[in-house]
Amino acid sequence: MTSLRRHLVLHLLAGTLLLYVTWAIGFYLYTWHTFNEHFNTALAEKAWTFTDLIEVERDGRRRDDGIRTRVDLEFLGLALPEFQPSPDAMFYQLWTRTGDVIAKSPSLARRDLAPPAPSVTGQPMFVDVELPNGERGRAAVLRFAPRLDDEVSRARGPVPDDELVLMMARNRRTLDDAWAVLVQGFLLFGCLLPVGTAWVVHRAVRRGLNPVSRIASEIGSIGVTSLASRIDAHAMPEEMRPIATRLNDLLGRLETAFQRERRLTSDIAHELRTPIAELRILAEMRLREGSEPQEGDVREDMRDVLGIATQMERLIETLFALARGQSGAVPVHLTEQDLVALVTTAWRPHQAAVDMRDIAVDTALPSSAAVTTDAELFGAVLANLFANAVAYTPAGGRITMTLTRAEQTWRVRLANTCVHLTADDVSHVFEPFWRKDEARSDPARVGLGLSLVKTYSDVLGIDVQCRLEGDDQFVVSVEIPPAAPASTATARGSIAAA
Amino acid sequence: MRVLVVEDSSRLRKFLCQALRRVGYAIDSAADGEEALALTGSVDYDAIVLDVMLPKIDGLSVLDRLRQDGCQARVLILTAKHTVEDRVTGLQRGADDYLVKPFALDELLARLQALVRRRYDCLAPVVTVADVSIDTARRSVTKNGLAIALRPREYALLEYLALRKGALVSRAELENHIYDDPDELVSNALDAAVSRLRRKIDSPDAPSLVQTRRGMGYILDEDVT
Repeated sequence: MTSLRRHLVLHLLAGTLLLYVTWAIGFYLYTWHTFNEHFNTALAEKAWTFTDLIEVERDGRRRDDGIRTRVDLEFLGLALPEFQPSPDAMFYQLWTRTGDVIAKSPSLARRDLAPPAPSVTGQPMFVDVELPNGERGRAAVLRFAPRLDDEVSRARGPVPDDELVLMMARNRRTLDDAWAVLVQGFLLFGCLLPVGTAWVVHRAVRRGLNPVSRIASEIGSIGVTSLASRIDAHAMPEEMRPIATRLNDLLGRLETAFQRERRLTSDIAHELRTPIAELRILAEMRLREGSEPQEGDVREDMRDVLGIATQMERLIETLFALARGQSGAVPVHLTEQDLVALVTTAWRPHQAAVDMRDIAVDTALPSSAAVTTDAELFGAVLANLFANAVAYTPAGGRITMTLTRAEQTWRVRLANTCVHLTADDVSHVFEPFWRKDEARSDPARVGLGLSLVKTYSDVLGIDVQCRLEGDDQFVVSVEIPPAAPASTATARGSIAAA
Repeated sequence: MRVLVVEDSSRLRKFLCQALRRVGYAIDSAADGEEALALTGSVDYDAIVLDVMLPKIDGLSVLDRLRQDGCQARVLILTAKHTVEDRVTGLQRGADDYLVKPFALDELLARLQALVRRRYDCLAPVVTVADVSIDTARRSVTKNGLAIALRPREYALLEYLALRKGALVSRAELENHIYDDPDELVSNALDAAVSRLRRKIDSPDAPSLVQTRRGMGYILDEDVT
């Protein structure tokens, strides 16, 4: 990919220079045309004025070629200094239609102007000529009908035989000088302007792209350890604010993801450190003892080791289950199930614990509720929800379980007495390893149960929500679609044939 | 030496207490911060092994309260929080040492021993009284270069007196720092322990290194007054 700066500079420069050249050419042509027109117009006006001084009188005598005509040149008696010999003299010459020279200016002396090409009567024609003094000149050629002096001619009107041809010429020095000045000016500015334009364009592009460079520099300085950094969108030009805003959103999500990953890694390490420390100190303690251990001590030690191993195994298995669920690798077998049976089965192992702790349980379940789901995965969802409710309901508290039919779903509602959670806590309950008790005192609970509930719910395509109700009720709602006539439920993960 | 072990993991707490008792420490234990503060309010501990992530009151808050109350016990933080930031925080809040789980038992014992020595301003690990050398790092005793076998309780008694060498140590203080539960002792248990110790470290023709101050306590010193 080419450089944006280079791209802009080249295109702006090329465009500007093209515009300049186009303008210059246009201006040149317009100016030159205008100069020419003014020059020609002035010359033509002079020639037309001249023709007003020419009269034709016919004396009636017949010539071989017709009626004798006398041309009366009134200007002959006038002092016309411009036609006198001088370096800046003008020239004129007058012909009949047939090419006979009638008159010419004193400035011509013995020389003649070149006979003009035929022209249209009344329309001046301009030609460049070589003047008798060798200079370049411009001549106006007029074919005109002079004034008629005698009554007969006036009565008859002009005839073609009366037409005369006048050529009036002057040097075109002023025109050429003007052209030279024009060309010099264009050449001068033509050299300076591209340089100036290039400099201006370069600077303008550089300044214009400064925000891009700045944002690139800011982005470049953001690393894994500085994801809290944000780009100041308000300092950006209007066009770049959406980019900065989106980048900040992305950084926010990245920061959250990294924090979550760091937290997860740290939590996993933390959960493993204590059982490993227990194993280690037990082993080292026994190895330090010189005497053979008593059988009772050995059995007790092995019970401890088994407990530690079980705890670690439970942690690792849950982590694996989470990882499989999140990656979509858990197989899903969708079959028609009775939701009431699933709930009852998942609840059964917890009945003894609630009885022992004097926890009241209220249930409102229909006789049956057909749903399409994966029995194992949904069973795990229910098992974890129930385990969580039983573990965190204080002795003497209450657990309420209802199953109701909403419009398009069956809703499982599980509420338990809970006095230690806040509204802010609720937003975290599905996060891995999150526990209200930061000390993580209970080794049986590592804070992954509700994460697994959420993960499996996502896999199954069912909605699970939690909230606090009142001052002491933690409520989890699970909405699951009823059984379809044909199993059309979709879920993430690999779908195996039922 | 009397040590308080504050750890919410019941298994780890049990193992720590066992391991420390086996090397002669008198041990109390607590499972949460509240219990720890209640115990430190009434007992003068030589050292406290303190977990950070405790229920009710966390370990660093317990540490803050201990220092505010002027507790002189040396505190060794034992925790799974392993980052430099965590260690720096713990030490800045008043801990004397920091050990990350999992740890080597030998290291825990060595660090604890070093803390206890500092508690009594004893910088060198070896204390010599006449021809008896007590190596507090190795927990070994020699007399004229020959090793003397002492039971854990006997060693604990000798070590406590050695760290307070030349100073009068009351009976109550000795009982509190040597025995897990001083209230359960038979009345002459300490005298019997001192007697056994004297038999092992004293020279036959020389005055006992463990001098009795009747009604007051004992002094370990080579100078007899």
